[in-house]
Amino acid sequence: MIVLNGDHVLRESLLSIYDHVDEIVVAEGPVQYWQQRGITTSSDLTNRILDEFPDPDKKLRVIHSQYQEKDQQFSAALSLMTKKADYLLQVDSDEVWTQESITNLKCLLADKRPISVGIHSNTFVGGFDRVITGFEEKTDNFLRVFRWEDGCEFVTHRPPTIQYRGGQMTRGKTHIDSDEARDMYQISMCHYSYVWPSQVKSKIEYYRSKVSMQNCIPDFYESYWLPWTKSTDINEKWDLEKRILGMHEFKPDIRGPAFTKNFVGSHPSSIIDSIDELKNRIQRELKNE
Amino acid sequence: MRNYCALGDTRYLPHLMCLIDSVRSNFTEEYKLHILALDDNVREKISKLRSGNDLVIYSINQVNEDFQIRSIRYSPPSREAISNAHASNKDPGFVQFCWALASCFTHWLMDRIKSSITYIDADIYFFNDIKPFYKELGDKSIGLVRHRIPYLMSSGEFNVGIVHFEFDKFGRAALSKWKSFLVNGQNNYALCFGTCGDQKYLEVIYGIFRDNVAIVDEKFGHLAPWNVTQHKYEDGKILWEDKRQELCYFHFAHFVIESDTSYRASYNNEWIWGDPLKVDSFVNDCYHAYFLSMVNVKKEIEKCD
Repeated sequence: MIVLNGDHVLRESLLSIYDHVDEIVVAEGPVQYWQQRGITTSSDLTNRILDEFPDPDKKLRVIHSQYQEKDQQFSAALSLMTKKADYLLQVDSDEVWTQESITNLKCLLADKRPISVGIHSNTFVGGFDRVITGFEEKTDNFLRVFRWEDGCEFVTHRPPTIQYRGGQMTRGKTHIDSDEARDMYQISMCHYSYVWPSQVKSKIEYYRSKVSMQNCIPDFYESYWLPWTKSTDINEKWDLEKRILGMHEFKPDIRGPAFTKNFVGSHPSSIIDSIDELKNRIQRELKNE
Repeated sequence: MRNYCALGDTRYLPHLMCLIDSVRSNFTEEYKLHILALDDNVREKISKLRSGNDLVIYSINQVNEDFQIRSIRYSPPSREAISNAHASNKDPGFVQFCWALASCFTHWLMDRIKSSITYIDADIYFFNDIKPFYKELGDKSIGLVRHRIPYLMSSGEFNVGIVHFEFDKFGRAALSKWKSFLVNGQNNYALCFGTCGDQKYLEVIYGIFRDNVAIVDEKFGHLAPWNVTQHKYEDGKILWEDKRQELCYFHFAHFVIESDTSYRASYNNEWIWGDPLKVDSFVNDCYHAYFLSMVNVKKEIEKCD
């Protein structure tokens, strides 16, 4: 995991995987973009959560540093691995797993021994009730699980790519795509990605400057996300989405339609346990907007 | 318990009510019939005139909360939808939307009830129990029926009148796949399989999930205006490719009531294999039974207005 100012569901994310993995390696800190803005480490509760996370089995290893880009940050996390691993599960700090999904994933890995697995993302927007469709649901939009072998190397974070010894790449060999994983093995993750104002603002700022440049809707936060999130009227939400063919910061001609729909699954237990506080935080932050 | 789903707007209200009546008269296994009412009139009339524990009625507003489905109504209609709408004097966008709803509503419903579902077109009318369908389905996850006509490239092999999905990994995957084709008009299969609304995509489903699909065709008898000339009729049974079958349902597509005493089996003589009403008295009897049922239902609706 790599993280900077990701305290929104970081604890819930770690809790959701803790019992199912041998080791959790985390690289905390800013990439160059944030360093240039004077940021040296997380200023929210991220570091406290990492420091105080209950770790009876001594699985959690954390490095605090500064990185050139996310690729280097991810490599820094991997350098903390001490155990011989057979699979690598990449988890972002806003991604949380249900116990059912991660148990199903473990069964799938044991049964099929795939080289990689795409994971369907239930990408939440403006709260805990609605998720983004369209490209967010595109097959393998999120590659998250990779077979890990001695000598293999994580080449890029976006898209996640592993180079195996002898130049054999991740894609192509007994890969389970995200549709198959979702529909046939009931594996998906909950991605609390556009939920809190602070989170959305920060994400938009970073992507606008570093990744998507001119591909973002300039006033997405103020004119769309904020009124959409504040509204409790389903038709008002629809009217906003009609204007930009969905609810995502990328321009519609770049991403295609990305309308929202009700989430009908179950939230992970770690989210359910703290849902009141997580919702209160949305309201607190909205008051300041 | 079996779950069935169907949908329709006010134009299809009489068809839906006849469907409900025929299900109630013929099905012997416990079931729930889930009806998506595309307007308030359908919701109100069915609730009032056909209420019962076997029915669950959904308002389009419920499905419209899924904006991905709602947006289909505003997408440009396909050529096929335009042509169909022209023949039946409907809005092409609405035709496209209804075609998409077969898969989208079934998927929406399965997400919620977490059970196997059989989708049924509103203009289907049962003459016997549907049990043989499930017997023939066996342990397969997807059940499809054929058009039962010489193969036409545009409409494909399978008819969307009845489509079954088990709530298992293959059934769920196939239903997701079918829906994905309809919500994304620019999918990889659109050029070759997007030629008949939702229907021809069933060929892709068959192609992908072949081992898990049952083509229910051996003992399960069904008719439609396009295929009545392809059958023979003997002692109240139908003969399909020399297989003697009991008629389970008739798909009364394009059925038009002209008056209290007359009806047509097509909008405008569009059935290229001939007039269904000039084939066999067995077929005419089926049509007549449906006509009487439709007339009675229409009177009931008028009284209620």
